[in-house]
Amino acid sequence: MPENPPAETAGMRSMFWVWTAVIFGGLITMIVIPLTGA
Amino acid sequence: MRPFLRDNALSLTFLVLFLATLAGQSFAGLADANEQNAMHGEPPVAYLDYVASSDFIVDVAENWQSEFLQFFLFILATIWLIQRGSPESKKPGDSGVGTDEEQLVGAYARPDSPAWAKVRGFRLWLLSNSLLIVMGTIFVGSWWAQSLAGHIKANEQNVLHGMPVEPWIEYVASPDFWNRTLQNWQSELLAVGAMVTFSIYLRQRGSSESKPVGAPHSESSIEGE
Repeated sequence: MPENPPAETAGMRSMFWVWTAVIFGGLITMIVIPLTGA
Repeated sequence: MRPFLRDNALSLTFLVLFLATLAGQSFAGLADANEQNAMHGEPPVAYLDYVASSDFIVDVAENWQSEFLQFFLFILATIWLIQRGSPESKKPGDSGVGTDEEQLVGAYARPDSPAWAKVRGFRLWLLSNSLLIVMGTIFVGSWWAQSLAGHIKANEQNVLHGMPVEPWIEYVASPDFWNRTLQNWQSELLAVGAMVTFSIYLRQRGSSESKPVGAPHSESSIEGE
């Protein structure tokens, strides 16, 4: 591990939350639709 | 290249590939479903109706659950289990959760460590296990989604063939549920085993998933050196 890693960027945070939204959005959709009987 | 694209190219590339292949699956799945409908003398289903149907969801969810099971098991197993020579493994003798000094937590946290690495108690425990918890949650959630959508689809087939509908608890013990589940699990576990063992002797110059080309075959993880 480098002694002085670069600072956290807005891009890192964006990627984390975009992927979180895609996965949990997809997951909730895949649970809700069959629960409604579709 | 713009700094944003350069710094996030790996996650952006896989996001685009994921969305493109999911779209491709939806069109291929619709064509397949409508071929089946034509054979049974039923009207074709519209695209939006298909992607919001359990028919499509069961096919997506069964693959999601196995991918996240793969990562869940790999993260868990690599805490304790070693494969000598694999860059996917810690070194022999390093198994276990590590000391606070090795993990840079508590008194050993650095000024730029995450805030929850500097405290004790539940917050440190949660940060320390957050990757495994989230992967496990997505696995359980998508396996549940597979069971719900597969149950709906199985009962549609039952009604079509004049058979009684079955409750969810019977569906999750059915051959259809376990065939869908295990056909995905076996391929994921195969791929993990292959990656762990092939990477002992094989290299890909420049990849973070490989040892350096000139690293000895006997060398395990190079992390922390």
